[in-house]
Amino acid sequence: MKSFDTTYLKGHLTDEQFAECLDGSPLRSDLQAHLGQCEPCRLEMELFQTSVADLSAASLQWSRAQPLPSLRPLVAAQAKRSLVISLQWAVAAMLLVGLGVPAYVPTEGQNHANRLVRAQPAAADSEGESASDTALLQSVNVALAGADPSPLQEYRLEAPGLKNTLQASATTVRAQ
Amino acid sequence: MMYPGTGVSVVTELDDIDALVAQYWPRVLRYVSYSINDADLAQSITQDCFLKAFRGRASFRGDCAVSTWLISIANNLIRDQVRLKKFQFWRKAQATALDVAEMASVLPSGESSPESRLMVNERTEQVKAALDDLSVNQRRVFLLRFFEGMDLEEIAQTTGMPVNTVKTHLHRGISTIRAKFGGKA
Repeated sequence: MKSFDTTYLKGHLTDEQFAECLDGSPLRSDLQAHLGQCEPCRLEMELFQTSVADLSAASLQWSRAQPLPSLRPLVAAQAKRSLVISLQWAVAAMLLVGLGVPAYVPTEGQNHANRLVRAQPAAADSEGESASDTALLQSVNVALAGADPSPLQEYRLEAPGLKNTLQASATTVRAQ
Repeated sequence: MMYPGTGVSVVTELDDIDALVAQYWPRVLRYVSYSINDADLAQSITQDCFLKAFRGRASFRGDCAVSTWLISIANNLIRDQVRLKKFQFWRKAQATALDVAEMASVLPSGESSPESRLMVNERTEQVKAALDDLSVNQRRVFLLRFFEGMDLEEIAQTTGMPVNTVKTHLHRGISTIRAKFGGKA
């Protein structure tokens, strides 16, 4: 720590130096020397300390004169309340486990029912329905075949012998 | 179980809420009352402090005195009050502010003559009035230094402030009160 000669302390202690003497840190030697030499500063310091100590003592006596509360009933009430809350949570958890989980996890009977439900669409796709669907699609194809001109006809690209050639090719492919 | 520096069985002490109150209530109440300057609110905060301490007694490691631990908890509660702005309301109300006149009746009886007692009363009132002019932080630090006898490190630990901040608050507080006494600087 930097030490100063007391001659550098002009006049009395500044606010900062005065506070430094009282803040509880080790007293600098130059400040100590000044307090030893300067009576007004020493008296001021003593007056400050005595006044604060008097207030401290008075305030403690005032505080001791206040009635002491009994906190035991409050603590017991809080403990009871927290126990009730814990029990409520426990009951809620048990209800969740007891009612929620069975609702989520299917029983054996429900499994059988689910299987039946899943099997029903498959049964609906019976042979009769498949046949009727196929017939319907074929009739649509037939209806469209006559009404829809071929792209060659549409763009007049059909050569005179090309149609016969194509029909012959289609017949050959069908035969194969 | 004995904790270092305390010399008492802290576990037993903390397990009995009423014994804890009997031993530490006055100091904590004084600190809170003078920090917030409201007797009713101080009662409420001090009660919360003891209930919180009792609930969290298992977390007390014994590395400081029980009173220091309690004052740390009280400090947190005071800080919460200030943050919640409730303090502003209470401060404005001042309905139950600490009464210096009431306190005068319990001033130390070291001074024998009526004149001396009158002077002590006047000085005490001056300090009290000067304390009221400090900011909450300056007042808290001042009280911890001069009422609780803590050094800068202990105050920093109790309030959660850096040591330099504690030092700044303390120096400003001392300067303000010195000025009230007609300081020479």
